Amino acid sequence: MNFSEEQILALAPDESSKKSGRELANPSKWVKRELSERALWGECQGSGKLPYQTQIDLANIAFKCSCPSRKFPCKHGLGLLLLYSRDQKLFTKTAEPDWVINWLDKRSEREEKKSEKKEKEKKVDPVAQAKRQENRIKRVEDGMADLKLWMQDIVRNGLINIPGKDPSYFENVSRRLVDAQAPGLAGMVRTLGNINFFADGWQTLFFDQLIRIYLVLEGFSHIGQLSDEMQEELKTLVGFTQNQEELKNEAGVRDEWYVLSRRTEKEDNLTTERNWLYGIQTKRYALILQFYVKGQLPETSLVPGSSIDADLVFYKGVNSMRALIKEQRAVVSKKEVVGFPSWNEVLSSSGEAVALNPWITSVPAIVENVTPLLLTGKRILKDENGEAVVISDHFEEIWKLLSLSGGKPIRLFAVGREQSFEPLSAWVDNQYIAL
Amino acid sequence: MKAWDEIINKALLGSEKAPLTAADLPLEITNAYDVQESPDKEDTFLKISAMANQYRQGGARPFKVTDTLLPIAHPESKEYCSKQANEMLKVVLDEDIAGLLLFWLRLCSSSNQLAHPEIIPSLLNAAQRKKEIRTIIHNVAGERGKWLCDLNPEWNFTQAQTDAARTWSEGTAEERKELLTSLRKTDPDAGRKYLESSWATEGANEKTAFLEIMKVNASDGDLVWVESLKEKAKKVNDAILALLKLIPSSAVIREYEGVLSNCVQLKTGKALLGMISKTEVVIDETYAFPESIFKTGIEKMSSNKDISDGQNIIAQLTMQVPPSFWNRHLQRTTEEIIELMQKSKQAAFYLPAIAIASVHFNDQTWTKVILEKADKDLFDRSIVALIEGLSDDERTKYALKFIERHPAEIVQLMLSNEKEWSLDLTKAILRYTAREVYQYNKQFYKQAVALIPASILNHLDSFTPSEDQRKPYWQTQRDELARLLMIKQQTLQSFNA
Repeated sequence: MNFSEEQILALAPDESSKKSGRELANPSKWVKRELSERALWGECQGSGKLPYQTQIDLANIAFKCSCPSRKFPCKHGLGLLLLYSRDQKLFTKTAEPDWVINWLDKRSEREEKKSEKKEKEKKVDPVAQAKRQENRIKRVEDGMADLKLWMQDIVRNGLINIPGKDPSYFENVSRRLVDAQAPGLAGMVRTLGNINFFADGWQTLFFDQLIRIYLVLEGFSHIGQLSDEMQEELKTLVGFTQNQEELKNEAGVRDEWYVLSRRTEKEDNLTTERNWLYGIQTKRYALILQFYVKGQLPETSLVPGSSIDADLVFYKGVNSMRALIKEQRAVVSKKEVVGFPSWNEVLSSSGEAVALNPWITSVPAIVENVTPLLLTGKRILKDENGEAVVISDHFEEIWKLLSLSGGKPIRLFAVGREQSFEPLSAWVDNQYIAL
Repeated sequence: MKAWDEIINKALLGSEKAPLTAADLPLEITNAYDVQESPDKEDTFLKISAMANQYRQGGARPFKVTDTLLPIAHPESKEYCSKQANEMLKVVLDEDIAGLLLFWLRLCSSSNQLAHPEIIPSLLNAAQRKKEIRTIIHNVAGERGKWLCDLNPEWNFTQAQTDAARTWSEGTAEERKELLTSLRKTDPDAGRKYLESSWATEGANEKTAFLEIMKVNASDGDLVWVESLKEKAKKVNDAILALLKLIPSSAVIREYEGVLSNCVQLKTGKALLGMISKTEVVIDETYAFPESIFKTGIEKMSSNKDISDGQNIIAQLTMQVPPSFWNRHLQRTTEEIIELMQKSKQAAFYLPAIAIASVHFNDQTWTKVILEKADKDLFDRSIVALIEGLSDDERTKYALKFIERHPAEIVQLMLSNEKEWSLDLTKAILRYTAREVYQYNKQFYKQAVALIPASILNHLDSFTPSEDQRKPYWQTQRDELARLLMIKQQTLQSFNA
């Protein structure tokens, strides 16, 4: 395992934890620094009499510390891992002490208990469940009928008046869909209202989204005639959740998964974490989403630029990329990733994906030999064939990207659609750099 | 895609005014699929649009770029700094630790290494905000930095640095002032020559501003040109006079020295019943001062009723002649002159004026003797200004000596040191800043950390203020200082590894 400072600091819950973590990445702060095959631990002298005991599960990157902090990982965990990344020789390889063995064992036990508990939870009354499902579908269909009328109204009167609409125009419909137990559709309507009507091209963005909603309504009204994958896709879009524990019982896809990027967004109290992974053998992309509120721990800590040996289970749907980690074995040494040779291949592949699943809003792609350029006010990514796509407007690290490239082609990971992509990470001389 | 644009145009108008039919679809779709129109106009509109939408997305292709738009950055001739050093730079920039940024840049530059490309834009942004670090950032940003500066007009300050003549002839007023200031510090003659070359075409405001800058390292080399200037505008003439008053061999200073030579004399007489001879400084405060000196800024009348007009005029003249004049005129060493003047109440009155002249002409010999020998009460108001003119090592020595007398001013002054403070001076400063904990906050330590030796870490607890209410504040500042010092140590290690 070899993490960079940036990768470790990306795990910090806030800026002050980063600062304190860096401060503790100092050997003099640690009275004990030891490691085994599966863990790293140390004792840090805090303000109390006894030193804090900090431990890190190296296989699954998890932290535990005896300090009273509610942050996760705490500054001690970050500091210890930073210290290890800076100089592994500072750590003595030795047998795990009891407090480390107990924690690691409890972690495995907890996982087992979780499975047992979920086994018990599974035993539900099938008749009652079917009845509930039937009632819900009825409510969803009623909500959809109202939504269709609202959309027909928009189409009849034209989009020209949409920018002048009050936010409640979208919010009220969205709320009614939540009441109709169709939270997925409610989110799609909210997206319509969140479009920036002052930006160029809002008309296409709006109409694309309206068409996606229309296709959900049309598809759902003929759901019985569709394939299982398409049925699952539509249900997910409407807002029927897939039971994660049931999913984990499905066969997983084992691979060395390269963590391509990690992005977090905070809205109110909720943090949404989007992790893009890439299977070295399967050449498959996976999106691990994690949601957590303040004080809650994310289930997994994925370090961008590292690789994990894991089984992933993909959500049911058409070419679904969203996945869950079923079992993570260890962090493994990184292998080289190989991307698409050109934008033409990326767009051909994404065109095929959209043909099968018209609700895809963006596709991930590692692309080889891309040169970022400035073209009379436009920022573009040119491939080896002299063909290019534009860099999406909200990408802020253009100068960092240009500096990394120096005018030469580099490997890039980007997410986007049609002719607009947002770079998320790059490789220079095979060194991963998050953007 | 043309068909899609037409659909969007119709969508804007609405199906009522602009219905959509299968005929609006591209032939590739209608030839391949049997497009069924429904009786509901809106439903048909959405269905047909959905097909066109799929067609558009599925057929999206990259666009062709024909020109070679960007030159490639030249290869670097120096090595990149270590990964660890790069990480430390990220910390320093993320946390905006001003003191340590310059510390890092100096280490990198003196190691003949470069910053990694990923961080160069952040460095160039820092250079944009702080002119004083542009040269060193330019140095550690290497060829990649130059390449980026060519691309980003906001960073093209490196261009200005490399082409001084062009900046002088075509630059903005601000850029020209910056150039002259920088040249006066490094090559004063070159700076003057630029000004000479364009003097006739400059406006009065520019001339005044440039003459103010010419005070930096003003010397005999400037004299012939400055004395030759004949101007109409009063403010320009005032600026010329102010500049001449900094050049010891100028006519105006020679005239002041002439007047003082006549007013101030040494008189030797007998004391102790004629057993020993006694020398004293005698000052003629009723001297008939020539009218010409009042045309060069000397005030004729005193505004203080305790100071006579004569005293006031002599004090003004004393302030404006180099202190070395007194050595020549009285034929005594600096120590002897100060001793003689301190003995006489009349002469001692003028010692603060000599201190001001020492600062004015940056006379290190007089400054040091005053700081060592003179009556501190007489010079109290000039002490900090006197220390300011000294080299870093001398400053440290006298800052330590006078910190109890002028703590706040000396702390402020010592922030401009180039070299790290001595452990003793650091202790003296922290004793004060820990006591005045509300005034010296985290921002102060961020600024000062590069000057504070890491060896102070073992002594930090000894500065805890005695007042209970100040203790928690100090604890916060102390922890911050300790953290900053650790970053400094790690930065140092990262370049020594």
